[in-house]
Amino acid sequence: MAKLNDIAAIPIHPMALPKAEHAYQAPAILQQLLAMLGRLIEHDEPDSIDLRALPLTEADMQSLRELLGEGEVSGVVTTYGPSQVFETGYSGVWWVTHMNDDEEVIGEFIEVTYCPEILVSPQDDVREAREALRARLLQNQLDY
Amino acid sequence: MSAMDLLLWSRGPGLAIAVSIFAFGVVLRLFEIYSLGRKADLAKPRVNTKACAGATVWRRMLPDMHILRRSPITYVAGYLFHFGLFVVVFLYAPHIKLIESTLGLSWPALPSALVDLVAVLTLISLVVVLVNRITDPVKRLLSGFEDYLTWAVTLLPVLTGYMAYHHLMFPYQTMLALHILSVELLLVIFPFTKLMHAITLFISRWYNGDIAARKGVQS
Amino acid sequence: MSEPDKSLFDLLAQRGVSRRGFLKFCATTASMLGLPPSMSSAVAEALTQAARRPSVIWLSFQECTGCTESLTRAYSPTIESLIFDAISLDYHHTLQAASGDAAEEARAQAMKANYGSYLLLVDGSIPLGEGGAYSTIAGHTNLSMLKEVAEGAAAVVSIGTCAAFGGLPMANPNPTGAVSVKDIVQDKPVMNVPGCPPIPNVIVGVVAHFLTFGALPELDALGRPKVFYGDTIHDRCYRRPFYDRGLFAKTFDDEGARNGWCLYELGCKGPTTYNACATLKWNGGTSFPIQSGHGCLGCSEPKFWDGGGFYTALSTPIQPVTGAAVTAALAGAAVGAAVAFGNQSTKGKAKAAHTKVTIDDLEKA
Repeated sequence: MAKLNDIAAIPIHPMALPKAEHAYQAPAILQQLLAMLGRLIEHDEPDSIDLRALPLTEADMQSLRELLGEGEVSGVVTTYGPSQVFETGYSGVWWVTHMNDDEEVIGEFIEVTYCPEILVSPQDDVREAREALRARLLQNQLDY
Repeated sequence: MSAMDLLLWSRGPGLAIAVSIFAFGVVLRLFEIYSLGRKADLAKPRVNTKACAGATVWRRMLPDMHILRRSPITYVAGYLFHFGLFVVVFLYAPHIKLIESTLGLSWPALPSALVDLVAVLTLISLVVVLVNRITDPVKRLLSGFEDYLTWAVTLLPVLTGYMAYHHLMFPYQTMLALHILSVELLLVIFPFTKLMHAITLFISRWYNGDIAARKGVQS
Repeated sequence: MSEPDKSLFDLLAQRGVSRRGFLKFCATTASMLGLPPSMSSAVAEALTQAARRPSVIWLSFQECTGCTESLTRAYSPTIESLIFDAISLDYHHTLQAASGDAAEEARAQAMKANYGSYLLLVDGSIPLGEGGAYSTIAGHTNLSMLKEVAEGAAAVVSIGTCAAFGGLPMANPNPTGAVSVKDIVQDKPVMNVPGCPPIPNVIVGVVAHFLTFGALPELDALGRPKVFYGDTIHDRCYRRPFYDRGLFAKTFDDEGARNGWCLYELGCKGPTTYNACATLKWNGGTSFPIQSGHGCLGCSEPKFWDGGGFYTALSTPIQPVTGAAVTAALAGAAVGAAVAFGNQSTKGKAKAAHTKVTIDDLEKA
């Protein structure tokens, strides 16, 4: 038991995060993005990279974020937990982070598209909105 | 039998069997060679024959321009694959680890990518010497089954090692098992074939250097 | 609980999840299933079909409950809870509220009601020694219970290395005569999800795959889903560049270890281990063994307990060879001495038989 109590006395030296030199994957991903932009421009084919399916280090993610930078558009979609969306410094390259209600990341993607689908209003929603608005106006007319 | 079973067998009982046959065979052959004995030469040697014998062992490792000009293919490719085998076998990190765990000796390794390049050169050289052996009428006449057998068991470990490293053909586990088994095959036939030259070359060169020095000629 | 004829999309809508939410759900589910992002629409399509709400029966045999512990720690609970709302976990003797006869009754009922269509999950190996007496549940041996339940299953999923390959109970000398599920169940599709334990999101992912597409995902030669077990730890390891450069940690606290160099020499089994730890990671994507400085044990491979020491390099022998080699060398010396003796006596005889030839002899001839 005495041993157990001594555990707190054992010094803990936190290690520094892996340095930028550990970011081996970032350049490869940039190459992939370049090819994807080409396909978007020439064939109008959007595509995306699932960042969590790649063996990325903290340093990789950091350097990727720094290399891509932040562009003009950013926003949060609040449905089923928040999703952060921003356009990177390169137009057409979007960074999408999906989180659950506890704000844990459940999916992280780089999407190459003119506008990420999650930002676009779903057609069915728009139709329902028209109906809702109509009903609202009708209600108002009845009220007056 | 799964790939893992094969790998575990090759790393366990298979290796023990192969190393035992190798040790048995090599010691047996050495006893056989040494026990033949030679008559003591009672004449007083002219020079320090031991130093000359040592010098001969070393000198015959160096290229000889005369022979190089006469059969360049055998010479260059032959040198290359022997040198390559040395690098691949003794300077690749996992191999050093194996030697360390069995003999306790260790030394620094070369980067894996460099060893990989040397392995490719070794494979090419081995193919070149085989083609040369088959196309050259004299060499073909001189070659027997044993020559092709020793060529194959020398090539296999390098080839399977290269394929394992690059995940070619089979999953890594299977290829690694095949690689280890191919080395075990090499160990098993080593003492009983021409491959034994890797050990006896030192004995024969020493003897040649010694006998030549006694007679006062260079060897 | 959902009504059986509703699709998962309806279920989500009922919970107030919008169409954008559904889109997000599909993208993250595809990611969880190990599918490329382009498959997100296939997931969406499958999920808007009428829901399969299969009954799931979970049998635990010779195991440590580590696999169940792992499953209950799946880290993106909103998705998983929805997935598991879409199934009916009818029997799991650790998680279910009922016990004793009531629990067994629940199992019998679930089997009867869903015969031929339920999903059977198994963790733990099956002991065959002593007539299976080493492990019994409610008076039944593990063997008889597995056979009985597997009979009516649509598919069987072996969760964890014990169920998949025998694992710890089967390790040498295998005192209980343990075997894997696949050794017993041969007439049903069996998927192996090995690991000690498997990654929580892999367990959920493969079950979700079955729910989404109504079939097991593509399997490798050992029956493992390729999406999660397609690459070795070594190939996807962030420390791989150090292996290629020949930079290895020699001890757990040397300069190399501090710099995050490759752990090959410290016994890492990453090169022969197929699993998703290096990409999916553990504890909500926080880390995995190699990232925290310890080599891979190879826990998702058959016979990982018998593969030599955890801390000896993969290229080293499993059993010591020095003793055998020395014995063999001594034997070689003995036989060599005998051969030498034979040669010497041949030589001696030749010498003794030798007679000198004189000029006279030659002239006579």
